[in-house]
Amino acid sequence: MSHFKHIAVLQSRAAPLARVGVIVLFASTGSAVFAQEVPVYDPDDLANCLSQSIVEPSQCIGVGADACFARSQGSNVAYGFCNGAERDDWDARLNATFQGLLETQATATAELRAFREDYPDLVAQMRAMQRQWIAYRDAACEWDYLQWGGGTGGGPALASCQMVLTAQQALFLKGWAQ
Amino acid sequence: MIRRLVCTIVMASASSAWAQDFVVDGHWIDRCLGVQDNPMICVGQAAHDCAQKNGGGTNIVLGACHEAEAAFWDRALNEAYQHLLRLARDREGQDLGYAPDNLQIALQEMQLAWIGYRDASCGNAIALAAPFGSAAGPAYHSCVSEHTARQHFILRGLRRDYEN
Repeated sequence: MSHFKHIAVLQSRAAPLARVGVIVLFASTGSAVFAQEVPVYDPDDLANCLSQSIVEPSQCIGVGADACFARSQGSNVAYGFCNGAERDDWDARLNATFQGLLETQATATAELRAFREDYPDLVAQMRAMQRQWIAYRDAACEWDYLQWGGGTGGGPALASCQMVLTAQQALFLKGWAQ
Repeated sequence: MIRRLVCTIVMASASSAWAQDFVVDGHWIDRCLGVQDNPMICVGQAAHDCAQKNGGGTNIVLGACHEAEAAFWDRALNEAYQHLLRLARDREGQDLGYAPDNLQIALQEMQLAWIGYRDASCGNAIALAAPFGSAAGPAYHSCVSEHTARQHFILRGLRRDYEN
């Protein structure tokens, strides 16, 4: 596992500088002086890991945040930022897969209703499922957050929890879409 | 005497003829979990092994084997949940600033939300697998198995956090 993480990190060095971090940097300071202090999330870290066919995709969860954190000074703020950035990365993947599934479900519903008019709306079912997932993610991460009893670790832990659960759901839906 | 013996033999052979043991090898899963960093790799393989032992992967056999594996994970999840509930109760009693039942209620809510999520997901899995065909069985049971296993790993991870 760690072996592949190293590969992902090495490859990312050859890749163009990360977009997210750079945008944040210039937006907030307008100077490259603080480059080392701003954590940089490089979407290539995760993308490279996922593109390796011999790696089980769930092994890639956290790869982007780990690499981002390794490039930072190592603080709760950086930890929260890096996990938040990878969460957003997975969230975009989740949404893309979800939209594709909605189209599949719409087609399937139309086909099935040719046989039986009152066949349940599969699109509505899919949306209901996603709402249930959101309720689950929120309840699970709320529970996780409570463990910190109001300490400063709570916020970063929340981002990490959301990242992991979003990634798992993205991969779960991807399995359906194939 | 002989009649009784014959009777016993017939009963024994009859029962072995029905030895369609849709069971998964829990020891195999435990060994897998011991060596894999990523526990999800250990999910689903025992069901396929069970299907092989029962004459191959027809949908009915595969469905029954995934159901058996789901039962394995369900026991594991329940055990982890009860354990975590006890730990949460202990922690609330430790004067760490938690309101009474604060952690327990949050844990129960998470588990209730998980059940809703599992049911909605796996109901959908049936709809996605050819809805009029026998593929719905394995699709549903493997979905339940996967969800239950994943939730078990999440709770197990939380338990370790607590105990450290």
